[in-house]
Amino acid sequence: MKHFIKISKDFSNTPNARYRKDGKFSGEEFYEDLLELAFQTALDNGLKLTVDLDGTEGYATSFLDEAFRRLGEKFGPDVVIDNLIIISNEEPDWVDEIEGYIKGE
Amino acid sequence: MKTIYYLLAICFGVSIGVLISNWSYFTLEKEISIGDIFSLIITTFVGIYIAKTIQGQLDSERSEKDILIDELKEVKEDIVIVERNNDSGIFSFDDAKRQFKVTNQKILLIEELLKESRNCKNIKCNKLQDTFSDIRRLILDISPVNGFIYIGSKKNDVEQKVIEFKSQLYKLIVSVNKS
Repeated sequence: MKHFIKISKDFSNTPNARYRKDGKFSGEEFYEDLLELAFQTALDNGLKLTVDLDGTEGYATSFLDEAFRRLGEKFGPDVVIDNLIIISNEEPDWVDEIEGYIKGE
Repeated sequence: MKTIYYLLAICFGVSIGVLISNWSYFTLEKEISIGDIFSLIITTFVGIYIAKTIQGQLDSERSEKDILIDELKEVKEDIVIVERNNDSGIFSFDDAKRQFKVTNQKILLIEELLKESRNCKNIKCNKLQDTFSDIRRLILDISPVNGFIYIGSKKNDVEQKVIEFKSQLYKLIVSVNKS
């Protein structure tokens, strides 16, 4: 199991909205089918998980909120912040936004 | 037209010179020394050099401002599209995501250009960035239906934020122009 997720390649180039009912490639699907397990595996191996947001056609805030808020709720905001690296060169402001989601802001 | 004005100015100057030379309170030497010619040439070249340097600097500053203002105007065009869609009450979900990403990148570019510029370093666009994020969140938090976002009850909130955004944008344009 890798400790690096590039959303545009490993999940979708066109991430959708929040819930599975909104359509394929939702935030809910991303969290349940990919992110949660990848983060758990990284933690078990004493590694950090890197998530690369670049290369997609843009994100809905609901997608990122659903995925990363749930990650923060499951593992605790401090654990997630200490063990997660977000790459977002195309839109660097997503990094702070996601930190807010993780903390439940 | 400019050439005609320059010629008129030269003719005026020569006329004044002829008038003064014929006025008994002023006498003009009809001889000129080598030293005076040399001094005249040097002074002329120094004057032209200084004028060109200052002019060059002014042109460079103007170019910087024009580039920034052009980028800001592009962002304005993008927000007009958001306004139009908000008025109609419907956004295409995929188009909205894509457009917001592109506009966000334009705002980030403007931020970088402001930091790099000589005269606009102290101009910040944090408020613009924050308001943009608010608009994006208001629209893209809504679950799409068959690929479309129906703005519904959020329409007024989006409208208010767009007005705020445009006001901040205009203030930025004015600040850049004044700097």
